[in-house]
Amino acid sequence: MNIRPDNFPIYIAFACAIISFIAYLALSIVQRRGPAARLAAWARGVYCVSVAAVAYASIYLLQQILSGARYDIAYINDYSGPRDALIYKISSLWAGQEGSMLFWALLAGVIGIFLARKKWAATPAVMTFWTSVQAFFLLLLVKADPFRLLAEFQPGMVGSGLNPLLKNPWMAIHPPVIFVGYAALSVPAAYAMVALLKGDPKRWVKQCLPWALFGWVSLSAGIILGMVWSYEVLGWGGYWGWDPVENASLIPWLTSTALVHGMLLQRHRGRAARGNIILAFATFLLVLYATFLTRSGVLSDISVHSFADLGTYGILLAFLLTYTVLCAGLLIARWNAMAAPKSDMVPASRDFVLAAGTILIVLFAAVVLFGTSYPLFAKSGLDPSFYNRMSAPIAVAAVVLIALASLLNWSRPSGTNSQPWSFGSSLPKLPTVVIIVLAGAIAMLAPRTGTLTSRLVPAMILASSVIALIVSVAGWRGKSLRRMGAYVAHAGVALMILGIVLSNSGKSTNVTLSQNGPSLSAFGYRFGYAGSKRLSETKEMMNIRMTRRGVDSIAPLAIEYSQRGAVRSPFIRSSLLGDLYISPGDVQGVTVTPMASMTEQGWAAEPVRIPGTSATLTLIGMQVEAQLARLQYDSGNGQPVEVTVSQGHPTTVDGYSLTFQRFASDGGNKMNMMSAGAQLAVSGRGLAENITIQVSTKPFIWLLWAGTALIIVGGLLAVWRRSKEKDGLLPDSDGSDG
Amino acid sequence: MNKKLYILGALLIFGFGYLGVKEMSAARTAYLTSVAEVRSVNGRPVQFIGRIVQKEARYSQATGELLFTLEDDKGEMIRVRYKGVKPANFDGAAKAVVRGKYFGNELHADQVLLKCPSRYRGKQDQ
Repeated sequence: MNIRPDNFPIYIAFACAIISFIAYLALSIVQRRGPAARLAAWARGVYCVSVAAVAYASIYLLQQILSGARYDIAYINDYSGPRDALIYKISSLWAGQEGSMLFWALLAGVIGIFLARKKWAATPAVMTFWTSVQAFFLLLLVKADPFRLLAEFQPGMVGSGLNPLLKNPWMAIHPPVIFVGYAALSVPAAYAMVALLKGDPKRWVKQCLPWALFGWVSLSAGIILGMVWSYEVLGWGGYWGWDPVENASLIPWLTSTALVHGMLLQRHRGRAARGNIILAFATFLLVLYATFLTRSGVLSDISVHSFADLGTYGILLAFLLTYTVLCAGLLIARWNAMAAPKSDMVPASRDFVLAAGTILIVLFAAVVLFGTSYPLFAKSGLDPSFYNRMSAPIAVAAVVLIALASLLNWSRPSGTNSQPWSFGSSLPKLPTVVIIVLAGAIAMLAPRTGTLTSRLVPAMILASSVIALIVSVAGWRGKSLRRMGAYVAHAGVALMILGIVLSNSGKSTNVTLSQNGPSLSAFGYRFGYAGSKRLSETKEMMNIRMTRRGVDSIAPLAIEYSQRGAVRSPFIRSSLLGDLYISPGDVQGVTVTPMASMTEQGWAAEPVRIPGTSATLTLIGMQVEAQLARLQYDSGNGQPVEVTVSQGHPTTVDGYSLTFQRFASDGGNKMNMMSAGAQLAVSGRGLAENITIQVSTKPFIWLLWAGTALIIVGGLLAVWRRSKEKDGLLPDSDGSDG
Repeated sequence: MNKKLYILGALLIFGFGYLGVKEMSAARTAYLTSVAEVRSVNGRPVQFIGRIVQKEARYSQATGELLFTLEDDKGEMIRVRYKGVKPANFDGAAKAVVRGKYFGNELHADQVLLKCPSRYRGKQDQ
């Protein structure tokens, strides 16, 4: 406990969350009018104070980041710097672990205000759950204090700025969008708990469907933003690596997808009552699990993303276990009270397909959960190939079910479907068949290598996603925009899967180019190196000349250096046929190694000539710990200049660019004399340079992005429709329509 | 009708489970933290995390290979050979997670994941 004016609001928020929790708990036990109404208003007031304190702490932290006057706060020192652009100063509020927790607590707090204002009997019970979660979050913030002071701070110290990898507009908004999703997806769990306690399996679904859909859309958008960032910034050529941190958000996304489908099944057909409660709990617990995986440090030796443990491991584990036991216990105790009335279901019906799809998604969630948790109990991990192989049959089944969901009608209450097909004769049969056969044949024949299975599986996925796409788009006809949500989102899924399979069929190769050297061809282009240019002290631009059918163009590849390493931005040329993706490697100039030798008089250094010029470099000092070398540069006119080069900090002098490569030493040579020096790469002023680039093709990858956009649009349409239904502005769905 | 469906569902899930077990054993990579262990599993895929001995990192333009040395907690070192474009932020990284196979006295990596020092800073401060 270390209360200071900076972090005082967090303690206030924590205390108020605890008090409102107790008040709401009392209210949900004694449900009486009169004094209860006053206590409810009071509990709500205390809760609002808690949220206000969190809001104050967030705004205060942001204000201190923007002012640049408080680099003594460790968080600000770590994640922001005086030279960062405004947008990245703002995004540093949630870029780090403590800040993102604070921001999450704020978002969850605001959603809680909406829940607290609802005037219905279950509000105290909902709020008991919500305030307990809020209290846990604030306890984490008490432990991992965003306002902790930097122990070794000295006046004048400033932060080194946000990690350059995160300086990207997609990445700036990625965390808040994910957190909105996480916070909104906790609402169904709160309502499900109340439904269990009250033994009312029906009502919560209508209330919660818009929340579940909204949380789902937000989490989808957040995950997609991360994919775009990975593709456009990281320069490795991919968008999804099955990294534990990516998986941690994918698992609750999958269960929330299943939840949304299960809730529709319950709304339309009264089925899956218990399943939906399990899915609501599972989604909430998996959000906590994702937090645990990424914040507790359990995966710090496995994942590139994970944050280090800030001493919150114990609290997070207790948090997770408490709610798991609570949810499981309630579920077991109230299992029989939640039985849904039996209704008949025929296999050739939309309900059946919906149920099968929900089970399929849960199965996939289980696979990813298993693979991600595997390293926790076995001293080994699973390669991405595990997920890739396991998702292939799931993808086929998913697109087939998507197609069937559009083609089939809801089953009639009588239990027999006299008219199972929803389209009748209106579906253009022949063109559809032709397109499907063509897609399958192209997919089978296009790769000339590989085993039968390695060609058959993509062909099956392609053909079935083409069917699903056609059928889903056909479902748009004759529907109002509001009723199109599922069809639009399903077309998006089919399109996305098409994009994944097609873009994976691309190829990749490494090309090493030298200035004034021959141009090399790859993928129908000829590549040549047109030299590099230093844009600023920390930014270098390398120009690759690309020639295709006699047309020249320049691909600029930027490398930005910082203390945290270099960011190599890829160059992406997009066309209807797909992307050409070029990842930059290092520029290598001439190697110059100024050395100093130990003599009886001390260290002595000779000037070393930059090959082909009259300029020389002389070593005058080195600091091995700081990875730094001091040199004297002489252009040949006898007026030397002193320059310093260090790891990750190229220096420019007289038009030359000096990049530190490594320390060189030559111990134990003749007469036991030692010599040491620094190996530098020198480029610029027409010196020959080499650069290695990785060129790859991503056929039709735009289908993937178009598909994700449709998923979001479809999700938003569904949120719109279901929130109107909830508020009674639309008649309830009667099973006549999707 | 329902009975048949349950049987079909059970069969599908069973088949999927079989696939899972099969793929799992194929995709399993041992996570190791000591160089001695890496040397003992010759030729099988391993994942190793170690501290980068930065001054020995070298990128060879001619072969397109990154050569560097990792050190485990006991100070034992191992040479890593990675073919591919030098990963972003290699220069500033403190630790590396490498995946590959060990043979011929070197760990031949096909994947290099880097740990930035900033992620460890929080720990050092406490």
